[in-house]
Amino acid sequence: MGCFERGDSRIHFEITGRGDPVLLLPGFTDSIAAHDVLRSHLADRFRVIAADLPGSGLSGPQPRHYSRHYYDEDAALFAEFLAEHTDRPAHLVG
Amino acid sequence: MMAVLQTPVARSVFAWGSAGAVSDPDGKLVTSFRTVVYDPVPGFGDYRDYLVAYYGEAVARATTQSFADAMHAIVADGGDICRDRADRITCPVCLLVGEADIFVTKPMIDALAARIANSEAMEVPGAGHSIHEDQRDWFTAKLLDWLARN
Repeated sequence: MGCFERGDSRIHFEITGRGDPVLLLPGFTDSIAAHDVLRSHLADRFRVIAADLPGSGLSGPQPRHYSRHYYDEDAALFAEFLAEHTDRPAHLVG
Repeated sequence: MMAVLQTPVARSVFAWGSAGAVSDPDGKLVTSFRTVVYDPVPGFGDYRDYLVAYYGEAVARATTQSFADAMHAIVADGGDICRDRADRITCPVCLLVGEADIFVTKPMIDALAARIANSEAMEVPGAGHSIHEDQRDWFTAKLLDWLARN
């Protein structure tokens, strides 16, 4: 379990398993806790980096302000987040 | 979106209930989120209960209303999120949509897939927006197979 912070954003994440990296992102208002079974299946063969979207699950801020371009902002944020946790391209799942 | 803007980080993409664009011709999508906490539209009652139980009413209300505002702005701009830039994606992409998804349709994921060189798009019977819950065993097998092949 960990926390990645940039500016007002806070990403709650958990890493399980070994192998090629998989970034698992639940959807809006969902949380990684709801994907425990799927994560356990993946963790047999992959290094699963599961993270809540900013404003969802245990990630902040809450409540979050969603801008017109929040998808772009989140993509840049998660690219920075991934760079801290793997030096290889990851499978993006979500 | 990450595969569009941050191409080097993506080895493959496996996405469901997502089309890189928002379609809301009758305003139902935006309304569904804007009112979900205090006056949920039919079919959103369970989602409302989940939101309030998990986040508390005040946070749930502020979150969904801000999200609705963003969706409204995106729709007003034509609905594109990343579909118009999807031809930048170089990694393999698998797009799934549940046959009963109320937000995304098969033609929408087909339109996204058509812009991606190495892609496949599939409609999943017996599933709504949350394919991972509605067809749990099938979904897990499909994902593991995708990861093994890519």
